[in-house]
Amino acid sequence: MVTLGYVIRRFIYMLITLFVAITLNFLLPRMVPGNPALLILITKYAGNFNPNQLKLIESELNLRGTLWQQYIGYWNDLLHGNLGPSYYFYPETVNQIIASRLPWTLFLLGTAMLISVIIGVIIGSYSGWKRGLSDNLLQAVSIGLTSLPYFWLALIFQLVFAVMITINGRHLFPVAQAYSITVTPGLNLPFIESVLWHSTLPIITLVITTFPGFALLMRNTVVTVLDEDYLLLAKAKGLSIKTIRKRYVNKNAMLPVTTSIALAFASIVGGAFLVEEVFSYPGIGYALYTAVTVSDYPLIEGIFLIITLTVILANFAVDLIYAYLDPRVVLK
Amino acid sequence: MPEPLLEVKNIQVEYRSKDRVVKAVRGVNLRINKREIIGIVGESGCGKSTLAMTFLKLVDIPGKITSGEIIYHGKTDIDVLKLKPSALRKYRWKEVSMIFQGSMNALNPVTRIEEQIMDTMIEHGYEQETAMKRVDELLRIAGLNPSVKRSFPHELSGGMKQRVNIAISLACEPSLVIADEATTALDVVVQRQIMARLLKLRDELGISLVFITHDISLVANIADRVYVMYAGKIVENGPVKEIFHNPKHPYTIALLNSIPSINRDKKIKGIPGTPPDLSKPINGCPFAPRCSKAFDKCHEIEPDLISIGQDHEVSCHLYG
Amino acid sequence: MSDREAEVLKILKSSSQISRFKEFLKKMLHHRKALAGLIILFSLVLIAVIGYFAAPYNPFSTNAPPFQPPTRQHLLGTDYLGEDVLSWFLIGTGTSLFVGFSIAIISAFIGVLVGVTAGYFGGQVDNVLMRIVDVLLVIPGFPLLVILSAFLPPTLETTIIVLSILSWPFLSRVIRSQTLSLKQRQYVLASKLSGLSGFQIIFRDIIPNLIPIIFINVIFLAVAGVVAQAGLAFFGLGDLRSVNWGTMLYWFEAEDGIVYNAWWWLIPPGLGIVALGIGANFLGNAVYELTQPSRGGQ
Repeated sequence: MVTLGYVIRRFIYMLITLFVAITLNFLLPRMVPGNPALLILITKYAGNFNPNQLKLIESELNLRGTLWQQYIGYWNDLLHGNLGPSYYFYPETVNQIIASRLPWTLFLLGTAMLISVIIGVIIGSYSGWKRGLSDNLLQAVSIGLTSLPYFWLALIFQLVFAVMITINGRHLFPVAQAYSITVTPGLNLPFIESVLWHSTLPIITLVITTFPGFALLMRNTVVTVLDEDYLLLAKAKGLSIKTIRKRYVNKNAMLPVTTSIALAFASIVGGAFLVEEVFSYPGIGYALYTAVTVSDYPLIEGIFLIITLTVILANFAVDLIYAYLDPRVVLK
Repeated sequence: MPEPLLEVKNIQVEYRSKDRVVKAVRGVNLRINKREIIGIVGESGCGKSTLAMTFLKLVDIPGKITSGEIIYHGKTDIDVLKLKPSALRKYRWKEVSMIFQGSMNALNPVTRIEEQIMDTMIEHGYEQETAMKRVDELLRIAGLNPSVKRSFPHELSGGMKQRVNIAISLACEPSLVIADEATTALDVVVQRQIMARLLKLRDELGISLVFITHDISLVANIADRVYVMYAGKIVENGPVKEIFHNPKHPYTIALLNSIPSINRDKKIKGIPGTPPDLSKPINGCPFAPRCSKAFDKCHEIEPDLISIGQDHEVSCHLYG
Repeated sequence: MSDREAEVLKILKSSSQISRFKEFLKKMLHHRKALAGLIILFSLVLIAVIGYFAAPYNPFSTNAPPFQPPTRQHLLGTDYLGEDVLSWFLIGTGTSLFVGFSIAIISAFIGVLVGVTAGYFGGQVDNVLMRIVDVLLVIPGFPLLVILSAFLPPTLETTIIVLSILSWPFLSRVIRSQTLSLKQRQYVLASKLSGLSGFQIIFRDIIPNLIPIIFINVIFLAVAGVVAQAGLAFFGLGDLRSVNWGTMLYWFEAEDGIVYNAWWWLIPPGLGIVALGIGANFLGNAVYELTQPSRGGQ
């Protein structure tokens, strides 16, 4: 049940976690030796600069003053929504980079998660109810599928469907990117088609490795629920199988699945990064990859922050949804 | 002249697992008349709950009803065990309903009480509006404040949950209600209240009741007839006065002797030994190993149920 | 009790433990899944050993033409530099397994320590420890890994340490809840009554009963460690000069193995990971079934 106390508690908890993550984010790059401002000037201007430029960039990067002053400045920037400039994409700011890339990642993650949960729940519910062959099959297949590393599966799909197999000289799926160069972004059909076509392989990769977890969990929960006394009563009451499955079995079995969505998010985020990298998909995962390759610290931090924020918010949302679904949830 | 409502003929139930078969019910005959209260008494494991489940054809894997017939005399005569699924669903709860043991878990934890009372009514063709009105009525009959209908099961106490079960059992106006250890998990005060309420129901609504319990003293005040069950079979049955004042089977006598009495002089006697393992074949009378009056024949031949008086039957070699 | 009697008791106790273990092993060998799991894992270890002693080529020697499909001289073909893929795979298996198990053991050590302490002593200790664990668990793992690896020196040791730090919280939760339930058992209460100190009880009564769960978790931690390190290597983090499954895939990606259809280079490292996952799954599930009391079925 959702009570005010519960919401406040989860909210405070969320804030604390955020605080820790942000502080960590602040400290990390400052623990690495070297002066990043110097790095920028050297890379961009090949050593031709004067001390004033150095000071300027240092201020922009919040590297001047004591650690405490920098920390305050960091929070100041953050609360104004300023994540700083990127080294590599300078003068583009981190905000701009994230803003342009985040939607793609959310698109991949959201779609993959939704499809995984739906497929997983349906298969799991069916297996748990029917048992027998479908059940054994599910268990066997799940073990194999969950052992597949995201990036390897992505590479295999890419190799097979985008490179190896050709029908009449055309590949089945594109090898990279979010949409073809030939279409113009916007709400037009060619663009949407292109986006869908390009996102198929990445999404399939994510779904294949994620849905078995949900299916197994749902199946196990359904099996447990079927043993419960209230199931017997439901049958005795003469209720139709449809009603029983919907309101007595699935409704109860969905609860653990809902909590596990939060956990699944953490792992699917990692998966999305790897998949984006393989398909050069322009999401923040790929941006992070680039940032890491060129040591673009502000970008790395900014992305990490956004991801942490998103995951924490997602967890918070799931907490609330779970409280809404399970009337027994009692405040700790 | 009592009219039969439910006739159980030679029911046998087995539980089959990978390595063994347990014969839980080994040939039981039972008759429940209209407006009658029946008590079925026996130890845990004697098969009484399994027997009750057969009345609703609820026995499911790993259990199986291996033979027998159950005839329900309603508007028409129904062969319960031969019912097709959709007819079975109509029969369940509308003709015969059940109050399960363990009120703790019989209610769906994620649904409100009112929905759990209404869903079966709607399934059986009641109009939404009628169903909603009946919810209040049913809760009152069960002795609850109608406001609990908006609650979830975990918000109610054990006694309240059991009363909800009673309300649910009456939802579709059945002719027969089976109470399977319906008060065992509750404290004695609540027990008496619930028993009293059930008694009123027979008087006011004309329903038949079957009380299943291991506590023979519970049925003394309330039942019309009593069946005593042991090791999957009925060992004695008859009108309650006969059973209590004139018990014949050694097991029945032992059960009666184990009731604590306010009379301080009465010595409480337990029954030595344990019930037989129903996965192994039984030679002779199943009670023989624990029976103080057993003789040779008892260990070799299982006695049949024979009539020894006014509607009083017993299966014991002492009497035939 | 005389010295002799005490000695005899000690021998009896340890021999009963040995015989219990032997019985357990027998049960395992008869369990189909456990056997399959053991065989798979053993094969991987065998591959690693062969790699260490008898790899056909030095993985860095480039005497052959690049991007060759499998031939008799190079059973798994060659990579972008003409290096022998089979040798890379053999040696890489060893490195990957080593990394995985190091992570597992370090995490297990910390996780058990924290979990048992929190579970057994309860109260404030428990609260504080579990808050830390909770916070660590919410922060998304992979991005954190990426950042940490980006900022820290790129060696295998760093990778192992970083992954260990991220893995122990989950284990400590599991251990803590097990400890909580074990704490209630009769023999623990008995030990308490006979005046044993907390630490003695932990070591004598609690930890031995945690061993199956610890074992199962170590297996799964090792697999997770291998996969995580491979993922990091793929992303270009960690020691890129090391020979392991992850770096094999990194180079495949970075040097356009896709373009050359070099499936012989792509498949082995991935299969290794999958095999490890399946083997661990079988073994872990089997041990779980055999050691955790089964819920009463009907």
